[in-house]
Amino acid sequence: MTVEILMPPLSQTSDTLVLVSWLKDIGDAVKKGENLFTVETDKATLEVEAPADGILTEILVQPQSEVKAGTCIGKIGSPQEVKSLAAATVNASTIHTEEKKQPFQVLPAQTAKAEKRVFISPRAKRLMQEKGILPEVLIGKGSGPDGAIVERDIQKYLLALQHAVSQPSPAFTSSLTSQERFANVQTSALSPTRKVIAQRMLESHRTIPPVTYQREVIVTALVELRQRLLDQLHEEQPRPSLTDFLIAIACRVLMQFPLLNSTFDGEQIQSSSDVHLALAVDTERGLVAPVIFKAQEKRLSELSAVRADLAARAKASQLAPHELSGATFTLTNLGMLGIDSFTPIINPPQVAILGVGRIREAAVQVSGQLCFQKMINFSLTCDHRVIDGAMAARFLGAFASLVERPEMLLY
Amino acid sequence: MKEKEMNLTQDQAQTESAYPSLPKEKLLWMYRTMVLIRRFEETANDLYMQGRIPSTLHLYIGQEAVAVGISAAIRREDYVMSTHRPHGHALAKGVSAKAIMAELFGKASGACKGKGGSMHVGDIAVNMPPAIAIVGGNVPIAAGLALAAKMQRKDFVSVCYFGDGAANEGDWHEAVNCAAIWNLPLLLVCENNLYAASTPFNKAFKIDYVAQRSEAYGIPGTSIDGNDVMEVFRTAYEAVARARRGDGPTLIECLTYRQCGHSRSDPRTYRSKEEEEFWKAKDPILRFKNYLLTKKDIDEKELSALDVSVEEEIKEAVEFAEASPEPDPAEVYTDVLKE
Amino acid sequence: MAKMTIAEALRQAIREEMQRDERVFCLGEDIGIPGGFGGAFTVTLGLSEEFGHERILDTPISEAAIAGIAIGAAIAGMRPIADVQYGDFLFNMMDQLANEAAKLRYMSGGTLSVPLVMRAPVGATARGAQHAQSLEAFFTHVPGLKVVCPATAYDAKGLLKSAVRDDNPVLVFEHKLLYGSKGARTEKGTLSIVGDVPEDDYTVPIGKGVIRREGKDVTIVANLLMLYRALSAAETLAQQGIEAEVIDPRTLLPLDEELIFNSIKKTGRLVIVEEDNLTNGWGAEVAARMADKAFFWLDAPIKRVAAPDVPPPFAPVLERNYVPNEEKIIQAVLSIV
Repeated sequence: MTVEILMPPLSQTSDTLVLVSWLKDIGDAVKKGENLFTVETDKATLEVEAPADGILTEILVQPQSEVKAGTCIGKIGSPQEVKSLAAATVNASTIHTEEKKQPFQVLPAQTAKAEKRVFISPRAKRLMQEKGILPEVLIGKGSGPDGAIVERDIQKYLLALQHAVSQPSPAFTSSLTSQERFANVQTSALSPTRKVIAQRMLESHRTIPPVTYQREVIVTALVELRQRLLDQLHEEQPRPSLTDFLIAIACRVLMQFPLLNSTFDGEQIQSSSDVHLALAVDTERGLVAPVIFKAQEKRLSELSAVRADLAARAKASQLAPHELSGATFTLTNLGMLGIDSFTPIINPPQVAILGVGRIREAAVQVSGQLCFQKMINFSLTCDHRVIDGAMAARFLGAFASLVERPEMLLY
Repeated sequence: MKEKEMNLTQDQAQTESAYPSLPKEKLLWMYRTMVLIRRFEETANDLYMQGRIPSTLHLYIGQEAVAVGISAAIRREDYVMSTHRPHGHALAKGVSAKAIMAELFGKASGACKGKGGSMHVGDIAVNMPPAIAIVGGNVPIAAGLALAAKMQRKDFVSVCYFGDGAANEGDWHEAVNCAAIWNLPLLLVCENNLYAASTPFNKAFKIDYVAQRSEAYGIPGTSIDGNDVMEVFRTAYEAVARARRGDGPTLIECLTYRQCGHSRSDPRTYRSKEEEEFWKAKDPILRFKNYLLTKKDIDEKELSALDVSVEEEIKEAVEFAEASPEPDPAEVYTDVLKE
Repeated sequence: MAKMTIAEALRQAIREEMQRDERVFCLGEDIGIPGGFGGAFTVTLGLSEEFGHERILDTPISEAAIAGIAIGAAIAGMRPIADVQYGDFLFNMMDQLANEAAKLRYMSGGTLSVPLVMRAPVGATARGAQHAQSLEAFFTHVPGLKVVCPATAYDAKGLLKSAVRDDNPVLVFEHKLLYGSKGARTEKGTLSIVGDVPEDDYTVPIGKGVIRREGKDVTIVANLLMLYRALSAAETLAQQGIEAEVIDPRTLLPLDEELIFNSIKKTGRLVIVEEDNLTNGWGAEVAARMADKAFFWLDAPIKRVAAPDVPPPFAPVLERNYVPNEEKIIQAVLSIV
């Protein structure tokens, strides 16, 4: 049985490929899967395997020729066929020389060649030409008489293209059955809290062009200051955390950079002279951000007390709605969870958010001397519609300056 | 040309001594037309043998007295339906020799614009539709033409020429019967030349004369010497008068002989030489010429002059035909339907 | 406006044309006999009383003469409406129609014309093979003729008038089961096709078909009785969500190709339904032309639904298997959607 060797549709962009070379000669034995010829697409040169066992009987296209995908470029015959074909040729020639002694050799019928023909109705073909669709993409998708590709198959294909979502390459999905893929999957709906978070995060992502600016700051002095303060306190007195100190510093700097303390509705910027600072708190139900109103007026002790109270009530789901909105700035600390730095996401209608990383000991050079210092990486995300990089950088600079010389808080 | 009223009985018509006094012009016209037909056919035969005509021909040589005798009795308004052997009928009816010759050559100036050919010549302007080559096919049509005369209350008549063979066609019988029951003004002119192609009369008929069939349909019929142009004329004249009166059709069987084969590819081996000689001796033109010279005191010189003018006319016809252009190949698509 | 059967509409057409033009007359068998039927299907009933027996001319059983005499009369200026009692008898006058009527104009180099009408009833009606055939295909193959087939009362009057006024030989095919003949000549199994027929002088043009039902999924071309079966099939198909566009060609020669082509452009599919047998039917010509002209608009092979290649049988059960029915039409459509 003769098998046609077809030029495969290897190029994504072009119907035409170049047959570079044959790796076998006529008369050679070939095995299915063995490399038989090389093809050049617009992207690469590839080797193509033989589609069947047999003998290479015909080469129809010469090397370095341009060929359309689907064209028959050669033929592979079965060894018996080749033998009898050869015998027939010999017989035919002897008929001329001798006086027709043998009856004419009947050649084996060339039955069912590898059926690669795609049946397309004329109407469908016309539509395909109009839309620039290659037949290969519709192989096996014909719904017309005898499985022919008809007009509605083209229309279905075009519709599917419009709604195309990137598919994983067939190799990955086809190895599992649908049942297997969904065996260990549980489905659950979003909780109300989650819904709100999801909605707000999506809105932020969609509407705000964020840029995150990072600065490594030496916190050794601040940590020591806090420790000396704590040593002076009684038990009943609120004990400021590092975050409380950072809140106080943030408020001081925000007063100098009122633009970062604003809200923006897309049209108008509303700058506040009060800092209503939201603090990100992780709860069982998800992230909540209770607001410390007029934080700039509060002394460290008050800040600490308010913060502690809000955090406790947040975790107990006891916050009132008005305590969760109206902030002009947010601070979020993931340092206690080991994060070095991150790109916090702005809570609209705010225009900035400050993320705090973990304290790490590092060897740094200070005034020419190598020493160990405590470092924190601060990540400031700003809405670039409102705040340019230079301003963000200056804010961070001022913030870093206060963190590194906390005595200036008193000044 | 005005017809003189002929008051002749059948008996009188048979006797030579009671010839009608046709005007000399008419007699000369009859002679000239017979010669014209004879010379036209002989010339066409020569042209065919020289390979200058694309198709075969069915020649009328020897039967001229029938066409001329009948035509002398009818007017331009009367219709003629002819057969595959139409040249004589056409020339006698008034279709020009030029038009017929050009048609034989297949030229655009032919009687049928080159679309008909030898077997279909005619000219509706002289009330001769294209001849019908289907044997017997013309008889119902001729009857229809006669019906129109009756329905229109006009006095034109319809003449149908056919051969002995046609009288065995179904169409013939249907048409004759209809003409009979409706008294149609129709002349059924049978040119019995003893052969239908190669089939002799007695192989196709149990009876001796086609005219005998007229009785079966209840119409008058007669069998006459078809090579005697005067007898043909007299019989036709009577039949025409009967038809115009509203007395219906007449079957006129003219016994005659075609001196040549059926068509040009006929070697005539089915006829004996003796028979052919017998009939050649009864040649209609010779007989009429003799009649004119002896009984009508017409000068030989006049007849010779007519001979010469016929040669002229035919020569011109051939030259005309040869000089005429062929039809535009695109003409194959035209004249099928009337828009 | 009057409600008429097809037989009545044809009669009205003949009457009006004969009144309008004294050259018009009828000839055929049993068409004017006093006390007779007015033709086998009553079309000429009463006309001989109105116009006399010369203009409603009864003939002997002589089909060839009917045709030939009509030809001769037409050449000499009359406008005959001839008829055969059953379409099958057209074979008896085949020579006159195909060799003479169709060819005379051409052979004359366009100098004469043959303005005749030949009416013929067709269709199987339990009378046996020789009184049952549909013969349109024999004549659509003859250059020089025109072939029309009115299926409604409106078209019957309009097309017959056009045929009379046409200067060429026109064959008018009528279906026995669509006449609506009454009284002693009532046809068993007839469809009551009563339609609105305007009383004024109107004509339906020869060469123009009409869309009887609009659709977008398949074009069905069907004539005479098959038109009604196709419309029935279309209703059933509609319930399956397939909308068929049904075309009544009205004229088979010359065919209204444009109409059919434009329909195929819309639907992409063609089914032809004819009552004569399949091989070389008029449907084969339509299929060949559309396969040529509309190839790139076709979404599926062209299908023909026709009688099998057998003479028309007698027994009702056999005849039902001979004449295409609704089911066969539906099957053909379903095989290509």
